[in-house]
Amino acid sequence: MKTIKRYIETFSVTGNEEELRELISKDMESYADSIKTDAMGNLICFKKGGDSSKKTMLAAHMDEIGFVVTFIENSGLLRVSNVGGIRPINSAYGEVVFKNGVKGVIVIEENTKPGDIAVKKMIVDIGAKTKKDAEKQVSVGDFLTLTQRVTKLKNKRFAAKAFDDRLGCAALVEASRLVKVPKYDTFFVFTVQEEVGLRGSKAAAGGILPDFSLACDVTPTYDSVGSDPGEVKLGGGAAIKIKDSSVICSKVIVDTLTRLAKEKNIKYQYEILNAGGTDTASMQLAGGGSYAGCVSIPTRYVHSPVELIDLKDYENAVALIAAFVEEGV
Amino acid sequence: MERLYSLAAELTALPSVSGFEEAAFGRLGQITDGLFDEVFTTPTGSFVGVVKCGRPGAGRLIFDAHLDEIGFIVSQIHKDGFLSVTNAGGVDTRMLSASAVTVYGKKAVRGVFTSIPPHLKNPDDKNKKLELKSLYIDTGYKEEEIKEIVKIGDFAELYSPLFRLENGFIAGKSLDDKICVAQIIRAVEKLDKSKLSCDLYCAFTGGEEIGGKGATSASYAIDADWGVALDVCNPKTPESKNFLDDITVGGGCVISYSSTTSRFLTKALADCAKKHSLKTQLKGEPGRTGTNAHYIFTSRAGVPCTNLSVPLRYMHTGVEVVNLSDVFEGAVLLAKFTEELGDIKK
Amino acid sequence: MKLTPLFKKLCDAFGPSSLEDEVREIILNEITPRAASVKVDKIGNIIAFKKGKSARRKKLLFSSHMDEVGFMIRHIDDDGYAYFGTVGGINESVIPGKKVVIGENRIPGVISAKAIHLQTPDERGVSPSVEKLYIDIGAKSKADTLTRLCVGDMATFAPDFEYFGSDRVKSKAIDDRFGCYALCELIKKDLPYDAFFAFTVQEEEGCRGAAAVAFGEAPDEVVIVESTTAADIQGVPEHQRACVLGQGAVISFMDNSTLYPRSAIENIKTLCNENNIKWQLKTLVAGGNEARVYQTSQNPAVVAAVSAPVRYIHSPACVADISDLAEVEKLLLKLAESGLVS
Repeated sequence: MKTIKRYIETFSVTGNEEELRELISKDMESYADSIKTDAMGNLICFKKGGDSSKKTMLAAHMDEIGFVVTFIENSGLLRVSNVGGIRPINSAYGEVVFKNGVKGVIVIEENTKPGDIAVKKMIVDIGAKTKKDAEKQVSVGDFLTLTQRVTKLKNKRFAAKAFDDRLGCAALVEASRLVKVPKYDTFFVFTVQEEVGLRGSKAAAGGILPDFSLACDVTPTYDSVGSDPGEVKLGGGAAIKIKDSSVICSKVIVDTLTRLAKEKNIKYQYEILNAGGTDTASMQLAGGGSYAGCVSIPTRYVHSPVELIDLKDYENAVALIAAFVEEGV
Repeated sequence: MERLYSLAAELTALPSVSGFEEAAFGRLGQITDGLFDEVFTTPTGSFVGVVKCGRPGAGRLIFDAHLDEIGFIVSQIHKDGFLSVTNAGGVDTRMLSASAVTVYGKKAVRGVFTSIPPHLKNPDDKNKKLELKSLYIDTGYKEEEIKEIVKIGDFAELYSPLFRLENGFIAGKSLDDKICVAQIIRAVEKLDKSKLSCDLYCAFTGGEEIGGKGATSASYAIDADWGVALDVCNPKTPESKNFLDDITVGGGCVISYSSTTSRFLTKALADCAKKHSLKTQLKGEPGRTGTNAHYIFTSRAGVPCTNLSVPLRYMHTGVEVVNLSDVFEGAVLLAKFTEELGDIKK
Repeated sequence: MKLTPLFKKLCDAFGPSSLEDEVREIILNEITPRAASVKVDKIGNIIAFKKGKSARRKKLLFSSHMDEVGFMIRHIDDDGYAYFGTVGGINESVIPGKKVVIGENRIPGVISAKAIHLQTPDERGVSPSVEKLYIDIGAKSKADTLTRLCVGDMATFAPDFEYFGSDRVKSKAIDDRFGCYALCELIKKDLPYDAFFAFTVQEEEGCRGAAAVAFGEAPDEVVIVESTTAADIQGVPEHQRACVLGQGAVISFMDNSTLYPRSAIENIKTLCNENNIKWQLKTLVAGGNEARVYQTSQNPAVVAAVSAPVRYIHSPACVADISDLAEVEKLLLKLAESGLVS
């Protein structure tokens, strides 16, 4: 949980992943044979495998959703646009923090009808008195997000802004430590700009052209009040993805993960998501195609400041990823 | 046309739901045995057969027809053996109530999509959209029994074996796009290989219904010089739009100009049809063609491509309708086009 | 103030997505004598290499697109009217009441809609959907129409280029013939370092030509030269104007398809400030351009978008300020000297 907390408390809104990349790079230093960063900012950590005839690529994204300043009003209040999939209701009336440390609050325009609530009706107030006053600390093009924090709950459960997808990054780092020699040459890739359309992974996968790919991301559960019908539940174990709206996972990967989970007594469940997309899709489509899948960590209230997980699910995911890297397809 | 019919009947019966096309590879290999000099597959569900011309450094032509069909993925198993499913590709929920399906678990089992009886329907609900999450597949088994056969993640598809109507019309499921797979196979059978100046790659691609995944991978793997996407298209029907008025089932294959494909190649196809007096119809597609031509064009450093379509009524239902004469003349056109490709100048 | 005659020539040229031939001809004629090598790739993109005084360590590419938005004929009815669909994103409200030219022979036509006297109260003031619109070429019958054009032919707004007002210009297709113009003029100059130039096809239908260039050329740095929507018109609140005519070259930090690297943006700002080039930041996250395909290709490039602010984009009467166009040209010359990232 310490690693996860460190990652969560690092600002990494889409397009601004440098700080987190530094941290992860240091954490992977002792394990990887080589580490490099590509032109988009993806962190690519390479570990030689026992069999160099095939390549495995793992992906978790470093970026978190947030906002960007588009305009500074004469009053010193700021207009913003969303960066990634923001649901205004989930983000309103919270404390925000800018990349440069400045604090503010994000609110909705007064007298906005519930049906009209949208990001274009959101205002950020940093306490400035005028436009000039605001410009002393912020500018158009500055990035911000809801203040990151982790809250400990009962039963080894935690709520945070944001587990998506620093949890996946931590999972890859921890999994790497459990694997002595990967079956195939393996690339642990910490991607950028996933939240705005899987952009980093497209470039990274294109550069690697893997044979097998595995992403690690969060996935919503269906066990809260008012949820759509579905099987994924908190505490149900590592979620083996069958499909989401960007990808139908390769059968051979789903079967391999299932077999490994059974053999090693790792608690697992299947995940079907009718929305959302993950880096899995980019990796599946790289070059002539790769067999791709995803190990997801069940999370309630995704894309809110209170994403909620069961640490045991995370631990099961780490074990499953490590098994996949070590024993492969 | 008998050969075409039996090919279509076999192919449409092959289970190849988007994302699960591998299930069809074995039988597809048997059906095309002897046709190709080389065969390979992609992880994204494509089956590619190559006809080599024997000339070193020859150009590469792709014929792409998608192998996948829309279908369903088991998402939950309920009491009394009812299954919930999610969609693989654009499923038309209006067609499903009381339709028969095949569920591919440890073995293939029949099922029926549920239908709410009239006396339980709310008159106000008449215009409400029917969502897949309100439909279930009735397997006829008890919960413990079905759980032995089927698990979450297994796929299912409509059950509707091919049958004949009058005048060369046929009906069934997944003629989109397996009728074009059949068409390509017939074209290869009709090809005069002595006239070939290019290598022909027949790509039966996966994942078209979920975003052209198989075509993207196959085009990358093939690295072609030209491409023709073979797919189906909507024709005139009582409810269709005015720009489909001139497209009829039985009027020949459809040549489409589009702002997203290559005009010179489209013209070459049209000229070839004229030269050999083959029946074709013309379509203006202002934007996306909705076919794999979309993905082939932007592959690698660009691949000039066009699209030839078989007019098909009632797309994405269990009773899709085409006319075999359209398919046959299209196959002849493809064979001639391939033989004469060397004559095409940009 | 005026630009060279090449600008009008390019704006007037017929070039809807997939039929850029006339534009390609003009550009090839302009640049071939002044570039070290010029090629046209398999799908019609022009790629030119301009040798500079010295070689450049990184591969820098400037990209603009040759195609414009337009129409394609889909159906000719029994009376000879030609129904069509749009190519690229054209707002329904700018289509009725306009002149067009169709096909190889540039046949003139008009697009209108039901006369006001025949409209119901519900129809008044409402833009008809594209499906209901048709082109009238003055034909006597369907057969007459078919002797002059057919399904699959393409059309654009009729050219009507004019300098007007105070140093302003109106024309169709300023997006992106201005970009093509600026790059042609740049190629004709003596440059200190090597540079590559791409004039692409089919941008308006999803940056399709550029995707091929990104793969084939694998540049390290790419500058997209575009026109971007200026909504600085009466009735639009300040924070939604995106950019303003007369305030200089527009630099984007983010749009719907790209996050532009900070380092490149800061360098561009510095270049402008040091060389007295007027610039402005785009104050809205909207739209997208070819940067997307260059940034996410197998060989990801550092990208930047430098644009002219243009009102009423994708209409027959785009409006731009000559001084802004001049500032963009100045900035491009400086970028050709220094590259995107020092």
